[in-house]
Amino acid sequence: MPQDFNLDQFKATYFEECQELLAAAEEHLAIVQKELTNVDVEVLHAIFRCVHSIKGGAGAFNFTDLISFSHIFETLLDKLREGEIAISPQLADRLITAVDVLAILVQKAQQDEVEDPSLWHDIAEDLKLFTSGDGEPVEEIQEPVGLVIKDYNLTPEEEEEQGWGLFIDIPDAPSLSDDSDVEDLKDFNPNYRITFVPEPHLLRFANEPLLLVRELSTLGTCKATADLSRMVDLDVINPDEAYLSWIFELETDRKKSDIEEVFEFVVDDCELVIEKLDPETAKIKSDDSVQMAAPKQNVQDVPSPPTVDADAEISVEEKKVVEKPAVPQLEKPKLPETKKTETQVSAPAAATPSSTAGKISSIRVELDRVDRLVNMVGELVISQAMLKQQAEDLMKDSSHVMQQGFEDLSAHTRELQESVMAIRMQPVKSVFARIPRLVRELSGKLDKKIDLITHGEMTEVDKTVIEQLMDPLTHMIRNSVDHGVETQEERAAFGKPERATITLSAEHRSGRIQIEVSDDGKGIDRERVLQKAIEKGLLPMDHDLQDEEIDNLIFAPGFSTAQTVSDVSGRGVGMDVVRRNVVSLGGRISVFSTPGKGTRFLMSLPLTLAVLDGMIVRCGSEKYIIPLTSVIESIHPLAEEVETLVNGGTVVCVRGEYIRIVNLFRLFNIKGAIENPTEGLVVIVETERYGHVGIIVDELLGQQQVVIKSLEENYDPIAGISAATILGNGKVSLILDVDGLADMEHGTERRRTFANLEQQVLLTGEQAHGHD
Amino acid sequence: MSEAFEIKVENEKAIIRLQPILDMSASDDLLESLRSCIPAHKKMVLDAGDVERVSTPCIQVLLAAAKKMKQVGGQFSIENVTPKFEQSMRELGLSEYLNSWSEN
Repeated sequence: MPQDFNLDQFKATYFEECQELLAAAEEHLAIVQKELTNVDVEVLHAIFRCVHSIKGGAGAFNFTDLISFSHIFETLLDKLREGEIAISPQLADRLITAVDVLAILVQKAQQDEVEDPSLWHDIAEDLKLFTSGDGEPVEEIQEPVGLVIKDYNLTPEEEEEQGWGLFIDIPDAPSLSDDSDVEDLKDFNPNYRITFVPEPHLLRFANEPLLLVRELSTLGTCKATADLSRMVDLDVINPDEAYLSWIFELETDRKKSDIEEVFEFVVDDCELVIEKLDPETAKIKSDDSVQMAAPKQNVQDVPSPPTVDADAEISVEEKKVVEKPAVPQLEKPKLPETKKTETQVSAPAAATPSSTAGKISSIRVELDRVDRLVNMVGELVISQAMLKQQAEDLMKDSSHVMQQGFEDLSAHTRELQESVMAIRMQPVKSVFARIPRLVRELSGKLDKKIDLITHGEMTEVDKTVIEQLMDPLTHMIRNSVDHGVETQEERAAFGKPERATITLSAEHRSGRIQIEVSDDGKGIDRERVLQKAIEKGLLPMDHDLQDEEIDNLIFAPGFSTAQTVSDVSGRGVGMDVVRRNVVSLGGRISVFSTPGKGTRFLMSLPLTLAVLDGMIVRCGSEKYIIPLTSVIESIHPLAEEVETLVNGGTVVCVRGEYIRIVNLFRLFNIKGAIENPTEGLVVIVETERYGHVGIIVDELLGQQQVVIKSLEENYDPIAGISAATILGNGKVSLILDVDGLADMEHGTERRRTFANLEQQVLLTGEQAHGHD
Repeated sequence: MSEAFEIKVENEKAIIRLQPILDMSASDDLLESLRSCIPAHKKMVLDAGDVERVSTPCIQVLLAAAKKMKQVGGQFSIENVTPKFEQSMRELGLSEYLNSWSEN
């Protein structure tokens, strides 16, 4: 490492890592708490490694509080994973508190605040009591300075690791001793087979197969089988030509792309086949090879059989390696094996965090930089669209060649844009991971027994969306735990299972991410909600709200305040805030409730806040964009298919199904637009709350990828409009929010009966529309 | 060309002392040394006690030499195998060969 390296840079990386480690620790602790009696030792290992890595980094930067505390914490965890201490609910609680304290210490260190041992002293004492198991602290708290080295209990991880996760371990001598080899083979269950046949010239370019093998070994357990069939005679051999080829069997939890990356620089100089193995067949195969090994045993004195086939070679090797300690493979002495198994368990596990750090498969980039990139790509897309249009206008006849060029440019721009956007995508896991704890704490406080089930946590969504997801989600979950799920007595009285269930799921749906929070609680008490709404003067006595609308009253601002409301009504902790958050993200939230059965919140958010594929439509002299993901079809209805309803609404019959018409021209007060559906076009779109609706437009102009420019940021939210974009001609065009439009159409009808604008606002959360 | 390998001849046996660094640049020398001993001597012993690093080119040469010795009915063996040497051979899936040479 160069002498003048910038420590701050590493510090920043360390703190970023800390956040991940803390999150991981918390996640695993949640599992511990859930499965108190039956905790997988791997989970404990994982927590240990998190704390251990934090300690390691703290040591490098000399954050003494952090070192001292994490050491005490780690000592306890070490004993836990060794099975010397049993896990109790109290201990699990303390562990969680300890992670919290650790997080605070990390934060303090990050902010360069003065260290304050009183912060962690109490919990440290508790941890030590647990560590000693009999109320006696195991060791004195070390004075922070200089403790890093002398105070370490050397753990397998520690002995192996060179750095503390930030620096790349040089895979010079991976911990492959004779013994580990024996173990590796024992439970070896490869899931990849890599056939690597170097071209003769491969070695000349300073490519060394050994280094490839070592790199492969960082991904998991790797076993090589050499094929010497191409080997030539000593008289004609040319040392810098490659004569050997290999079959590598690899057991790893990494992706195929990670393996391909290992061979990145040699891929043009070799034949490379990476096959994913079915675990079952792999197992059978390795069993076979063990069996095959037996008859091979007596041929071992035959030196170097160069043309034995690959499989046979591998078995001979296995047998011999196993034989070395002079013990039959299957009857190894119990004692040393147990010892070894333990180290083995921790070794590959330890490889997981260090391998991510050891082999650079990702880099950290400041979000600002990515944002700039995204922005520039956005501009590029716009320029490209402009150019294309200009070229079309310029030379109508001779533009074929140019056209082709623009097609290519368009494809490349799109790919570039998608790649850039992908940089920002993250799984919602980071948000979901915090929920179990929330549920646990709240249910503990409220004395309710609740199981949290999460689905789809790997669903990816733009980072900006992720960041703003936490608050609404927390609100919703809290709401479900607090108000949705009944008390234990109530559940018993209703004959419901003792443990309530809250389900949290995420999925991609028509170009958006849909997040659902549902519980099997009592549902919304509509009577009370209504009563409250009327009491508060939010609703007149003679309302004509339907059930679903009553449910949605909980999103009204009047219901947000204080416990007094939540005590009497079914729900209502800050749900207006939730809706406001979600709407400001360009999302929607709705609630579906079945009394006595439960409540389901559905939150739909855009995947990204940057681009979308749109259908450009014309209405009068205005051009609008309809998100392509919501467009089903467009039709020219016949006169007899169009029906007018009593309340003034229009429906069109499409293949026997009546579809509500959204009169875009009326909603936005557009002059000169076609008003009769039979003369114009009806674009049928899918909405989340109103099913299919048809939007009347004059004509369709084409499809285009558009760059979203937020209206909220640059102006204010407008009902029925989700954002704006810049078209090829440089003009601003508005992107329609189809659900919002359906809502508006719905709303206008409502208004006719209510004649009460306030109620409209109350129900939809939207301000008065422009055309009034 | 780096300096040649030290070859000692005792009775019928040729002992070649392997250099510490058996990288690509050492492979030509190694090849020359081995060619000079085979098939003149029926027994060849490699002393690997100094080996710190080996490379595929050198390993290939050793494999070819072992094959040749077998063809001419000679004996090819290796002694004082260092852990690094052993590790490299294992990583390349060649432990079997190393073992059989060690046993000769």
